Order: sequence, then structure tokens, then C-alpha cells
Amino acid sequence: MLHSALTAFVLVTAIILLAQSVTSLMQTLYIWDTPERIRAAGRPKRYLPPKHGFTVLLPARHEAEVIGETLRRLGEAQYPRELVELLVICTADDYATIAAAEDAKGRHGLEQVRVVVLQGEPGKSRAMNLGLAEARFELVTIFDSEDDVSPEIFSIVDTIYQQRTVDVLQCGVQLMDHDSHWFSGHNVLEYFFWFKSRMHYFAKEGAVPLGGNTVFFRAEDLREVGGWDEHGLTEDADLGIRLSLAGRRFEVMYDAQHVTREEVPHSTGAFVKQRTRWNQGFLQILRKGEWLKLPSARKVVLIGSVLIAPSFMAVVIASAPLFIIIGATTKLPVLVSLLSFAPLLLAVVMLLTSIVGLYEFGRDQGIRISPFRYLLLVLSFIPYQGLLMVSAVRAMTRELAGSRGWEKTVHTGQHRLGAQGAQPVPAPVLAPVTSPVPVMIAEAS
Amino acid sequence: MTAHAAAVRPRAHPLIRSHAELLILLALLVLSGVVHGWNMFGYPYFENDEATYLSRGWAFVTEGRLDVHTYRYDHAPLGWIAVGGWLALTGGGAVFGGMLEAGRVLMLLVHLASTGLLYVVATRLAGGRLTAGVIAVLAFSLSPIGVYFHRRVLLDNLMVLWVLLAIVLLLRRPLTLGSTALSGLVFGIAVLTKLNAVFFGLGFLVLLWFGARGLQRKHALLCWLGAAGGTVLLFFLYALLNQELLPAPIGADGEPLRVSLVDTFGLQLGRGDFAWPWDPASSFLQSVGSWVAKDWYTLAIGAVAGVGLLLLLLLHRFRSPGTLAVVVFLLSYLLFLARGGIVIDLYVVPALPFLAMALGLLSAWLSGLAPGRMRGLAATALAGTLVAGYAVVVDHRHLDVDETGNQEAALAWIEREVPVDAVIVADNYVYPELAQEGDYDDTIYFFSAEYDPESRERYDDDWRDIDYLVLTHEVVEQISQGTVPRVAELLAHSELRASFTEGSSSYIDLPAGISTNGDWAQVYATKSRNGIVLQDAWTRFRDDWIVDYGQVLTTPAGDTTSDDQALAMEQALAEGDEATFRGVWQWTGDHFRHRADDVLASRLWRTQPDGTGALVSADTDCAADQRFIGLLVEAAGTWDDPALHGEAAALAADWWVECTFERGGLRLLDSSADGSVDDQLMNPSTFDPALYRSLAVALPEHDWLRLVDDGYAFLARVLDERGTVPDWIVLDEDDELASAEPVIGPGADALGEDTLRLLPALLVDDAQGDARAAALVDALAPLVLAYADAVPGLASGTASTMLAAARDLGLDAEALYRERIATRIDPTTGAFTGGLVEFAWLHAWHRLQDDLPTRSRVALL
Repeated sequence: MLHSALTAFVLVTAIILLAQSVTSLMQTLYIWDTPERIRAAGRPKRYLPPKHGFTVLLPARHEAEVIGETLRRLGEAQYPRELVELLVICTADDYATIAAAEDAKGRHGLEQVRVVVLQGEPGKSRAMNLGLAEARFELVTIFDSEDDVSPEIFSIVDTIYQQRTVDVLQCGVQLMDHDSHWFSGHNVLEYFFWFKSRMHYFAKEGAVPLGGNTVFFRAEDLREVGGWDEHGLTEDADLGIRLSLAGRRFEVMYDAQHVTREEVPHSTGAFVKQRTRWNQGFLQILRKGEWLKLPSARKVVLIGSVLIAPSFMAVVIASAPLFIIIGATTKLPVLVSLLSFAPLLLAVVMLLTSIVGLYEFGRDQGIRISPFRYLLLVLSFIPYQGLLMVSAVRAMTRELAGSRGWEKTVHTGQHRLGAQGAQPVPAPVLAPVTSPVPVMIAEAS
Repeated sequence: MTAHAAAVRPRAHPLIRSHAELLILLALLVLSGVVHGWNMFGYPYFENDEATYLSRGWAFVTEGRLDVHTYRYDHAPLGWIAVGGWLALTGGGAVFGGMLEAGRVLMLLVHLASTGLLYVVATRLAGGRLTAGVIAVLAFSLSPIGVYFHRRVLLDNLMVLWVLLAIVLLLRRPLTLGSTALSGLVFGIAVLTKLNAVFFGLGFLVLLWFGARGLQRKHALLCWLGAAGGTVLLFFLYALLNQELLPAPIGADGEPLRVSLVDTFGLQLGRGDFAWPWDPASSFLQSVGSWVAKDWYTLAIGAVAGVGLLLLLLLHRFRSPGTLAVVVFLLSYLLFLARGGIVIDLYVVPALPFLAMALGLLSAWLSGLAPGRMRGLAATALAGTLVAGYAVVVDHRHLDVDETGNQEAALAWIEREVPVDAVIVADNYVYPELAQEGDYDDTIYFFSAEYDPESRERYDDDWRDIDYLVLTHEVVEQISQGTVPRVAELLAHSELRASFTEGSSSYIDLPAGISTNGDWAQVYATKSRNGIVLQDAWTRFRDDWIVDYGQVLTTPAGDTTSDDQALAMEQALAEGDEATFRGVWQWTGDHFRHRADDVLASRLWRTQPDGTGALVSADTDCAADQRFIGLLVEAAGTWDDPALHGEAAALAADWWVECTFERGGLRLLDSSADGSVDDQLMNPSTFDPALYRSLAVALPEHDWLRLVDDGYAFLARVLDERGTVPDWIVLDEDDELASAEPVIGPGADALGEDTLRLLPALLVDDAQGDARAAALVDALAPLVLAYADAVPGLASGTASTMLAAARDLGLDAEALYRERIATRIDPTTGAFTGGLVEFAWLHAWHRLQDDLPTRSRVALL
């Protein structure tokens, strides 16, 4: 009796892990399935004459050092200036940033820059809703103050909006410093596969966990769904789900030359904290239950599995000793044991895919990847999964602890508002470890 | 660019492009099905392996195990798992009248599926030219060697199906990663169906390289290799999880303690000696010879097509991916065949679809050389020529020859004649019907009987406890290759019970280990323990003591006696060794039968150390002479030779004159035709009532039964007067019993070894219910036991064991046998130890076992 129960338990777990590994691998390789998909996922070959106007939201807090440079580069975008407005949104007490923005505006002759001052409580959602209210143009987008944005991005997005039926367009964001930390290879590849391939799959399905920046909306859509939820702590995912509920169409564009470039977290600790936060954000969305209202079962399962994955992982980790005890004391049917190894085989395929991915990333970006980096990629594979597991378990325990720590996070995050980057949903490998839908929450201290 | 272009999966090009093409394909399938299906239960014969896979498949679906006994990793298991699935679906043998038949129906379906896939592959690889598909399918389906193997339930046929399916999946245009991964998975299944599928791997890489485009290519290679490799890895993982992957530790008895994948693979890789493929003795060339004998036509045109395609490839400067792929598939498989290791006949199977493909591609190219409208005509002409070739130049045994009738008849015989609890060691073709569909639970595949510890338990690891052996072509082949010594031993010690060789095309020479075809079967029954002992004893006797062309020579004395010659002939006759029987009799005639007045045999010949010899005594031994008479009569019947009977009659005539005499109203036996006229020296042990009873039938001109009656009367008198039966007796002119000691020496008047020789004859007659024999045995028993106490030895030992079994004397016959007789058998040769004298006693004891009714026998070790 107990034996059958244990067998069934291992069997079910193995089947779920297998299904998740297969799905994840399919999503990761989605874009390479046919040459046509590779072609269609990139930027348009030629740009059409400019038609759409863009309102760029730049929520900034204590960003005086970088905001000027960001504005200068955005000002150099190869797009008619009269069709772009740059809204720097600061809290009223942030004099330095306001001054830096005004200074850049005058020095570089950027008439399209406006500084909007947020009264009262600081908060990114409030800031962006204020920006939305002030937006003059049809398309609204968000950049972070330290982002390195392609000058052709507006031409590309404008052309896509003209050519295709699209409401929300996510453009590629790419971590670049693949050799800065032991874990950066894997981190870089998460972004690479997420924006280059997996997100296309979600877009096709009509339910996308959006990235934190370089995402374009129609202003009217945002107004229709009521903008960002100021009370929610996970407003971007919330927004993605609401746009999906409203039947909006998603598209993704990833072009190696025109990705928005970012850097990996500055330390292992920062990485874990960041990932913990994303995972915990997932749990928040999960609890809210709005995703259950998505229009098709397929979308519910798709988003649901993305949301549930880290918790599932935490449970698997928590029960790891149990698995070891089962393995050591119970003679399971060989076929069941065999099946439980299948996800491991797929993890190896995933690792090999990562190696090919690293090669492609290097070629895309014109970076020479040294053989050592490939070796490190292999060697750090399991430790990296360890980091993901630690983050998942951490998020789980923090969430279960009840206090959630969000108040504190929000509070401390106010010091570095808008510096959280665009999070990918990494592909589950060894076990389904996924990061949350990008949640625009300030970074933990 | 359309909206969501990236999201839309492009439609694949259809496999069949028009209704006309569909009709052509259907026609081809019908033709292929008819050629395959017609007479498919009758030809070719059911091969051992077919039943092996069927029985394993059935064991899998009914018991969840990978083999009927211990799975030894001899093959990857997916093939028979699939076969098992089919059996489960069709209720074992229920639907088609037997598992073997069900298996062959499955092979028909597999063949049809392979044919369809081959059409698609050949057409696609030829760039859409349907000529390629048509020609390939025709060659694939009409080839006699193809029909021969495709009808068989072989893993290779299933493997070919998977390989072709894996190829088709890679020919999807545009190629998708999904299709690629699926292809890898299917190829993995092919490998796990039959491991030698891996040799096609290179061809797949060619298809992948040319099928995938740009950035997709690396991922495609990875997906395919990952899917295929991962699938294959599961097999090794399975072994690992069962703790059967690594070499097994060796137990105290020198046998491995468990099965091991690595050990089995090592063993199989080491099969056969290395030989360069051009060495005429190489397994490769021998197999090629066998293939050519089966179907030279397909092999010839296939080889020409292969070479032609290679030239075409050079002509096109390797720019034709389809051609390149077929050439690589063919060459890499050819390299496997020619690697220098063992090549089995059925290894040709995986090559056939690719030879057909080569022929198809080359034909498509050739017909393409014709100008525009003539192309169709050219293609039709090529197809017509091919079909005409198959109609004319190759034989069509596969359509009308019945090769399975004898096998079916043997099965029916077993089911009729053999009890269900018998231990049957057999070619596996009987296994599904006997053990799985029937109740013959102790049917054992002959290889398992040899090597599988679990199976050996079923007969206590003692081949003498096996009851029957079903002998076939395959068993003979394995015996002659020396792979199954235990089965060889079994066959050597069994007797033919039923032989089904009618209409067989096989040349069968069992002693030489030759059989040339499998369309026959024989059932052998293992001899009794006693029969086995006697056979092994005879082997030793013949090897150790028979010299020249039939002289029984004891060394170092150099004596040859007529009695020993008779002993040799008796054994030769019992063991069916006609040549030795005749040789010994010839030698006896040449050296012993030179007496002036009669044809009786003299008694003793002595051979000198220098090899020369001469008669020591011209006297005869009447006991030996009467044995000659009996043996010749029996041999005349056994070998249907009236001349032998004539010799027996002549001998008997003289024997009656020289060896019997009348005195006191009794017809009595003289010990020797020694010319003594007055006093008769008699040896009571000459009396052999059973012999006289049989001669009374065969040679009625003499009054043999009187010898029986008078003999008993005389022995009763001796017992009465002397209180015992002595070794020798002199009967004087006055019909008075006198002492033999003056003639023979001291002790001749006492009970001794000669008296003991009389016992078996009395015991046989006693067992037949003769009261006179019973009275004599009763009277002699205490005397013999007393003698045994006084003179221990083999003679008294065998005698007391005989008596212990026949009478309740407070003795344990079995214990006596174990102690006195069984210890005298050499455990390795099974023969008696000791010299010729000891041999004679032991032989007499064992011979008696055969002559007694079952209840009086001792259970032998």
C-alpha cells in the first residue's frame, strides 16, 4: 500500500517534471523550429515612413548621474523629433534628478524632453500612470534610466505597428556581460532565449509575461484597462494579464543589433535577491487569481504553469530528503525510476542547447567567446541551478512566513526606483525553476 | 509580411502529390502485399529467432518481463515489446491460429508500411521523381531474398520500418525542429529495436545537414542527436538501474553472479574471429555467397546501382544531397558488414531498402536522360525490365514451397505423444505453442537450457533429467559450432522418436553436424540413466580395448578371449554401432574360427609385445559361442541381414553337437567343445534360459526349451546334492557329480565368481515368474551374501546389490548401489573405471537393470 503510494508519488512528480522539461525545451527552441520563424522574428528589412508618435516614460529617482546621458542618446534616435516625447517622471523632492534632466534638455537642445513632477507618495506605478496621463502620443513605452537603447528602435517599432495587427510589442532586451561573473553566462543566455525565442511562443499564444522595459503599448489600451495598478505590487504582470483579458495582440521583436542592452546583477547575492523578488512576485500574482479568468484553458495553463513553477520547485526541493529516503529504502519499478531520469536527460540537452546559444549570442553580438567560457558554462550549470533553487525556496519561505516583506521592499526600493531591468522567464532545466513575470518592484536593499 | 508570420507553422509539402500518384502507390502496395502474403505461413520455415521474439513479446505483455527467462541484454528489447503489443492486440495466437502465424501477419503489415515509406523516401530523395519510388518498391518487394527475410519475425524488419520513418521525418519541407526531434526519437527506437541501426547514423547526419537551413542547423543537429542519444541512453540506464550494466563479479564456481550488459556486449563483439572481408573464409564473404545463392539478381542489380550512384555523385560533384545520403547509408552499412567480424545471413535485411533506393534513384536519373515526352516511356521500360527479371531469372519458391509442414507435424506429434509435464529442450519455434499457448511449462529454449541458470534449475542442472530434445537445423548448427556442448551431450545420449523430414530440401548428416535447410524437425527422447551409463561405458570400451578392426585386447597380458569379443558385440548391437559389431565379428571369424570339425570359435588368442599373435587354445567356450548365436540372430533382425541369420544357424548347428550332451535323460550344457568324451566339465553359469527362449523362436530347428527345463532340473539336483552351486562341476560317465578340482584347481567345487555369473539370468527368469528360477534365487541368496562377506570385491558387490533389489534380505539396494557401483563410474566420462574384468561385472549389473521390469530396478544417480 505504502509502496504503491510512493511509486505513484514518484511517478506523478516525474511525469510533471518531464512535461515541464519538454515544454520548456520546445519553448526555448521555438524560434529555430523553422527558418521562416527565424526570419519573421527579426526586425523589418526596410523601415516605412514614420507614422506613429511615441511617448517615452522614464521614471527616475535619484538618477542624476545617468539621466542626462540617457536623454542625450534617446535624443539621437533616428526618428523625427516631433514624433517623440521623453517624459522624465521624478518625485518633487528629487531636485538633483530634475536639475540633471533640465540641464541635459538645455545642453543638447532636446525640446521633446518634459520633466513631470510626481506629488505625494513615491511609487513607480503612480509615476507611470502620471506619465500616461501626460502622454501626447499614440504609443507609450518605458525605458530605464541606465538602458542602452538602439537609435533605430522607433523606426523598427513604427514599421511593425504599420505592417502588422499588433497592440503590445515587446522588443529584445539583452544582458551583455557574459564574462563578468561565474553565473553571467547562464544569466545572459536566459535573456537571450527568453527574448529571442520563448517570448515569441507566449506572444503566439496571446498571453505574455512582459519584460520590464522596451515594451510598447497603445496609450488608448492602457487607458482602457486603467493603466498600472497603483495598489498592486506586481503591476506589470497584472497589466499583461489584463491586456490579455482585453484581447490585445502581442508581438515580439528581437534583433541582435537593436536590443536594449543591460548588465547582469553585480554580485551573486544581488542575483539571488533579484531572483527571490521575481519568484515572490509570481506567488503574489498567483494568489490574486486574475490569471484564472484568461479567455482560454490553454492560456490559463500556460500562464498558470509559469506562475506555479517556482512554488512547485520549492516543494520539490523541500521534499528532496523524502525523495532520497524513498530512493534508498524502496525498490521502485525500474520503469518508474527510468522515467524519473528522463528530465535529467532533457536537462543535458538543455545544457547543450545553451552551449549552442552562447555561440549564437557571440556571433550575433560580434563578441568572441573564449573556450574557457564554454567550459565554465558547463561547470557552472549545476551551481547555477542551485542558485535558482535557493531563490525559489527563499521566495517560497518568505511568502509562507506571511509578512511577505513587501512593505519593506517597497520602502527601501524607493531609493533606487526604476533600476530593476527587464526580467526574462528562464527556461526550467534541471527542474522547473522559473523566474516571475517581470514585476516592476524596486530592488531590495 | 503577414501578421504573425512567426507564429504560423508553415504547411509541409504533401507526401503524395496527386490522385494518380496515390493510385500508383496503392497498386504497388497491393502487389507488394500479395507477393509477401501468398504462402507466407508456408515459407520460409519458422526460424528459431522468430519464436524467440514472439515468446519474449508475449512474456512482456503477460508477465511484464523482457524475456521468458532471465533477460541477458543480448538485444535491445523494443522490437519484441512492439511484437508483444501486437500479440496483446490480437489475443496471442487466437486470431491467426498461433503466435508464429500472428507474428507473420504483423510482418506483412510492417512490410506494407515499410514499402509505403520507402516509396516516399526514394521519391523525395530523387527530387520528386516517382520513377525512383516505383522502382525502389518493385525491387524491395519482388526480391526473393527480401521475401525470404521480410516474412520472418525479425527485429531487423521492425528496425528498417523505424529507420525509414525516421528518414521520412527528416524529409519534411520545410524541416522543423519538432520533426527533427521526432526523427531522432524514432531513430533511437530503431536502435533499441536492433542495435546495428546505429550504422545508419552517418546517413542521417547528411540528411540533417542538407535539410536544415542556416541558424537552424546547429539546433537541428543537437535536437536529433539529443533525442536519438537520449532514447538510446535509456537502455543503458535501464541496465544501470537494475545493477546489470557493469561487468558481473565472478562467483566461487567461476560463473558470473548476475547478467551484465557490458559482459554480453563484450561477448558479442568478440564473436567470431577477425578476418579481412576479402578472405574467402571470412564470415562476410561466406554470407555474401549465401545471399547470392538465395537471390543473385537483386544483389547484382543492387550492387551495380550502388556503384552507379557513387559515380553519379562524383559526376554531380556531391551536389545532390539525396544521392549522397543513399550512398552514405549504403557505404556505412557495408563498412559494418565488412568490418571483419561475424556476419549472420539476416544482416542483409537492413541493406535491402537502401539497395532498392539506390536502384530507384539511378533509374530515375537514367530515365531522366530521355528527352521530355519519352521520359515516362523510359521509366516504364525500366520498371518492366526489372519486373520481367524477377519473373524469369529467379526462382519462386516463396510462392509455393511448404517449408513449415514438417515443423507443424513435429509440434502435433509432441502434443499427441508427449506428456505435458515432460522437460523438453527445443528449438524455440515450438516454445510459443507448447509453453505459452499450451501447458508444456517445462519447455526450454535450447540456448537457455545451456546457459540460463534459472532454466537449468528446471532440470536440476543435470541434462539426464531432460526428457526430450526437439532437433532442428538451428540446433544442429549450434551443436556443430560447439556453442551448446550440453545440448550436444543430450543429443548424443538420446534416441530418435519421431522424424519429420519429408519433402525437406535439406541435406542432413547429423554425425557430421550438417544440415543445409531448416524445413525439417526431429524429436529425440533422452535415454534412461542406465542407458546413458551403458552408452558411455561402450564408448570407453571401444576406445580403450578394441584395436585393429575388431580385436578386444587386454593389456599388458595381450589376451583376447571369445567371451570378450562377444561382450564387445553385445554392446555394439545395443548401442547401434553396426560397423564395430561387424568388425569384431569379422576379427573373431578371421582369428578364432579355424577349427577342423566345426565353425565354433576358439577361446583364447595371445598377442605378443611385438604385435604378432597366435591362438593359445583351440578349445571353444560354449558360453561365448551361444552368445554369438544370440547376437547374430538379433543383429540379423535389427539390420535386416539374412546372412547374419545364416551364420547364426550354422553356428547353432555345430553348437548343439559340440556343446550339448544327453545324460540321465537330460540335455545338458558342456563348458567347452574340448574333445573330452567321457567326463563332462560343466560350468553352471553357461545356463541362460532367457537366451534359449528367444532362440526357440528364431531357430526352431533345435529344441531350445528343453535346454531350459533340463537346465533347471540339473541345477536343482546340484543344489540338492551339494547344498550349493559350485563354479565347476564334473559329471562322470555314470551320471554322477564329481569334483572339478582335479581339472580346474582348488576352490572349483565351491560357490565362486562363476556361480555369480548365473545370477542375472536367474533373476530375469524370476522376474518373468518362473518358479524354478525363484526357488534357485531364494536358495542361493544367503549363500551369495555369505560369500560376499568372505570375499569382498566387485563381483560379490554387484551380485549382492542385484539380490538386495530382488529380495527382501534386510539390505538397502540403493545404498549398496551408491557404495559399490556408482563409485566405480568416472564422473567426467560417465564410464566405468578399472580394467576389463571390472568392466564386465559393472556392465552385467547395468545390463540387468535394462532387462528387469521397472519395479525391480534401482534408481540410478
